[in-house]
Amino acid sequence: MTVYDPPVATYIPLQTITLGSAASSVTFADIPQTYRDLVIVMDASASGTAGGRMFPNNDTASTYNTIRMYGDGSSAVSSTITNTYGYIGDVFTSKTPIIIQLFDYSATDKHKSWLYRMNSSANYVMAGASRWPSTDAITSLVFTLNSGTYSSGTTFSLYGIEA
Amino acid sequence: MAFSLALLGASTYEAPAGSYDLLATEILTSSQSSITFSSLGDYAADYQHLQIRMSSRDTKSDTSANFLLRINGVTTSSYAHHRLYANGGSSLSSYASTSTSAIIAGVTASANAPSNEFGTTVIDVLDFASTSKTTTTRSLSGVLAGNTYVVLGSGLYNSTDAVASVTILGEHSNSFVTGSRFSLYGIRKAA
Repeated sequence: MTVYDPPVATYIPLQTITLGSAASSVTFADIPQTYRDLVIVMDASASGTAGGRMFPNNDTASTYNTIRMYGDGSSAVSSTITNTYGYIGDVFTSKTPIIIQLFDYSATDKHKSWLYRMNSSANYVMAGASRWPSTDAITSLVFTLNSGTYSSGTTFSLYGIEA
Repeated sequence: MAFSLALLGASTYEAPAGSYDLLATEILTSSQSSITFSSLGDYAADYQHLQIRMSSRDTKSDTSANFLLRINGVTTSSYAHHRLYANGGSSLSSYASTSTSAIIAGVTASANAPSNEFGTTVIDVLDFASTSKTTTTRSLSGVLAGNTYVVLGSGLYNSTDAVASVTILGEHSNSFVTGSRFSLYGIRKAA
């Protein structure tokens, strides 16, 4: 075990993107490989209700897996998604915060998994996990929606965490 | 817009150099039945909460398994946990249990999961140095394997003892395998 003495300040802000106009796609490019995990904090809204998607290295061909659970006050739902996109929660026309914990993004001996929490006070709260079945290090992250656009003012913040 | 208290004649707040600090990491180079972060009292003066981030896989002959969290090495006390979880069925499930030996803290990938698949978990240990509060934890954990789970959990160590050590161990004596990673972070106290 490595004990850090002194402790190492981490949770380092790497980049924040604030949309000045609606956009169908947002990219963090050239992500440094000096951290172990990434955290993405989104304060999002969209032109309509849409599924949020994340593509490591812009990979739109691999088969991703997702497990999610959510509740809207009248029902609680569990479901899985197996498709060629990485799911991160739904985005609504109202404010939709999403926090993604992406593990071991720079490792080359693990598939890449992330945990996410999505909250929409007008709709539902969700927690889930997704996996990109690749051992490639992640150098970029592309965010899209299954339809429509992210609204102007949406922010995407990227943080690096050492381990 | 930046707001400056200095302009109002008040003192300015200087954030500590690190508000979220890496304290220790274990990346396994061989199978290991447990991982212990010890001497946590050393951090009590500077940190309010602890966070554990882990990606793990164990030796259970299955695609996923639970793992446990034990406080101060105690196996004769009162632990409890609750969880809300999904496994891909149409509805959610909940579960609660008590134990004298550990909290069931989350899920991990296991031996029959796809190669290179590791379960992921974030655990918060709140007010770990307090001697007036029982110790509570919260966690979010997921595994995308044959048995697919996402788990939102809470745990209780029903003691007001300060947390001096945290041990993560496989359920039913399963070991964590090479490549499993366990990292401990401190969240600073307010100045």
